[in-house]
Amino acid sequence: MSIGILALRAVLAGALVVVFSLIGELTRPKAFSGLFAAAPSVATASLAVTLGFDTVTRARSETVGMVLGGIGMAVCCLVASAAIPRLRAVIGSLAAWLAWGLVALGLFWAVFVGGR
Amino acid sequence: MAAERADVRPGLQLGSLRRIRVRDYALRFVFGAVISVGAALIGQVGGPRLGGMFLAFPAILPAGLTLIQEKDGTRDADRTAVGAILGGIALCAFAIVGEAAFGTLPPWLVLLLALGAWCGAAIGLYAVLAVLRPEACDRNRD
Repeated sequence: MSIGILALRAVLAGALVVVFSLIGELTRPKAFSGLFAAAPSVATASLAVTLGFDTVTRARSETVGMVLGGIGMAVCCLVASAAIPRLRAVIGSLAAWLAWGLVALGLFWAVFVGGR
Repeated sequence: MAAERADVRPGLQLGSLRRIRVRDYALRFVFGAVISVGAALIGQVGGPRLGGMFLAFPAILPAGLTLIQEKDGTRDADRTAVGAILGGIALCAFAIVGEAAFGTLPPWLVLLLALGAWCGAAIGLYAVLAVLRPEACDRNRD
């Protein structure tokens, strides 16, 4: 993968994250604007670059893994919802990331590694 | 005295534009760029399924909630997190549509359909939350 394609991915993903964040900032109530905190911004940008410079088969494989990451994301949001208001923000964020890692990597291992 | 009816309708709040800090958005841009490149590199080493898993990595969420907690307080961060849970579940709809339709329909159409699936699932889940727990979606309590 060339540096140019990586740079394109980075710029597109960063830009889409900003766009979805702005939509979240401009909408209310907070529970509705929160939807955009978990928008598929990085996924859309990355899949678009994969489709442009790689194969559809690779894009499809990426979405298979993304299903597991999405389940981890929902659990991460649950943990963030519980932890960030009660703990310091940094510790709450770390707990949320840890929850994502445990769920997503655990599912990945169970489905693609341990299940073989 | 009758309880005030919850106003759960989504709407625009253009006044928020005045409160936007460029530094916060620059930080979000960097987080998005880094996780996208990271997912690509992980995909090169561990395969596209492992790399794809990181397309749903919550890079922005904890940073976003932290910024909201600092700027607007814990209650707003808590209510935003409730919405993010629904958005996270909807992310699975995005991925499932992609997984089911790539290779069957034109790829760019699939990407649009997946985005539409995320929007539909997210808004649908919000509607369910608004019916079941209207107080969590009440604009008057923001």
